[in-house]
Amino acid sequence: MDVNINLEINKDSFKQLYDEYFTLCCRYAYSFLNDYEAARDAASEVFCEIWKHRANIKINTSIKNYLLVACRRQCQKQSKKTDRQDVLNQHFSGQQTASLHPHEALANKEATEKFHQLLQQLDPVKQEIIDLRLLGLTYKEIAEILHMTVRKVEYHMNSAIKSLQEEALNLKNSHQEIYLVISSLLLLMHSPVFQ
Amino acid sequence: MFLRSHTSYILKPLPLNANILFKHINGECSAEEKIIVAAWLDASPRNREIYATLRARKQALEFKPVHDWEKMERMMQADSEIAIPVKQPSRWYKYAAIAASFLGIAATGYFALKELNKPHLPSFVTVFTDHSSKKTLHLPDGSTVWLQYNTVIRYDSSSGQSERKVFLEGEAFFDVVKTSGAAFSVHTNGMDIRVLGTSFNVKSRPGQTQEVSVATGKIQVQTPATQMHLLPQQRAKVNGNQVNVDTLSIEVITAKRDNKLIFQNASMATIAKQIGDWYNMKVEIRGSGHEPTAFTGTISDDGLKNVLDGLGYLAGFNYEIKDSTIYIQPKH
Repeated sequence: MDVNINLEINKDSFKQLYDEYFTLCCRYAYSFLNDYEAARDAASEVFCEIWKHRANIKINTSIKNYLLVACRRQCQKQSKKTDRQDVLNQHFSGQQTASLHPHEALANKEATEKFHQLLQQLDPVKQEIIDLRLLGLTYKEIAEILHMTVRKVEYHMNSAIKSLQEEALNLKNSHQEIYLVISSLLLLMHSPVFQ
Repeated sequence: MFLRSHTSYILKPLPLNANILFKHINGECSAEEKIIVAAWLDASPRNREIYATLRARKQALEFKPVHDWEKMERMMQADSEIAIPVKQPSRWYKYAAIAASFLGIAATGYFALKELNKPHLPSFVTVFTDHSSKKTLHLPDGSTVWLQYNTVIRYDSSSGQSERKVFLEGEAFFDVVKTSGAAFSVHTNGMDIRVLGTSFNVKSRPGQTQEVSVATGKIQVQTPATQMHLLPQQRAKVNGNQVNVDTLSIEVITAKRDNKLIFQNASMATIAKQIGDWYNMKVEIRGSGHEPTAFTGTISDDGLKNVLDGLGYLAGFNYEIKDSTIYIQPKH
């Protein structure tokens, strides 16, 4: 949905915004903060601020773009306090592997860490573009959020895949477990999405 | 057109661009594009690893945050009382405001100085709920507590103390924020719980087994008999000198906070007991010889009647409320 608006924010329209975009905002915030609770807090904060300043807000882009940019700013404010890497490490050490057999959980954790390592090799812009694309945004939307051209976004995506291909070579793949996880993920390919 | 492009893919096995790959991951691919991705995946294990990485990342990103519109609404209400003015205040107003703020600073300074000279005295506040009310409480350090029925909590309302101590009788869910250094502790009759920054549920009612269950983080539980650490999803039941630890799903533990009733393979008797505990009312099952039910489901608590209507429909029973007792009549 792309509403170019001079939307008047009242209680009803605000509720609509909340219902439609809160989840997306949380997910985007998670891509920065790597902490589900913190992501929820950040997104809530964004909505709070919008409500507080509703009288003075003029939105001349799409509302989706406006919200995501606000989210981004909020996350940067928050992550200034806690070093991103710190949070990441914490996240992985304390990560919950719910409802899995301990052995599975261990393998899963290792794999996730490995996956993460792989993405970490990329520069932050590429990471962010990938996250946004995975969240289902179009190149155009990403370009607007990050203030770059669509071509630039495309370039970043392609070079990200290329450098991932190079990086993957360098990583040692001594763990058998990771292959188990990969193959189980590949099984997902048989899910209806791919039929 | 199709044929031509198709053959060109066969000639060059890896003409994959990121666009197609991400379309595939997001499930927006055409049949033609699927063939390209499949060929790319077949080409090398490296590609498969990249694909798996991206899918795993997508999975991690696509969590389902709990929408808490009620909380947002409360915030909106609180805010409309101190709405930010759109128009600039007039000049006279401005000077008055400046003068007032100076006065304010002076007064605060005076009292702050006075405070500094005094030793820190905790000022304890007691908050309680009766048999038909629940409350959400915000502690001075930013932590939040969800109080259940018939619960009493005592805490130090002065901020800046080095210790964060809470006394509890009844049941409450705690969401504790991390602050540098200061540990948070909950004391009940028979248990001392120490945490840094976590969320957990405590149940301590007189004459019943005491329970602690952890949603996030790690806590330390001290009973007269023993001391132990609990991790997420673990629940400790303390009965005198007996301590049992078992595992629960995270939803069940946070149910009190999220205001959700959760049923897992619940029989009619279990449903009755859960409703009774939740609303602190007596529940009786009428009639006998009904078919055994195993009901699984989650219901947000938006009032007793709504819940009973919904649940009655799903689990198959009629109900009647008379003198604070709920009578349940299974259908069939």
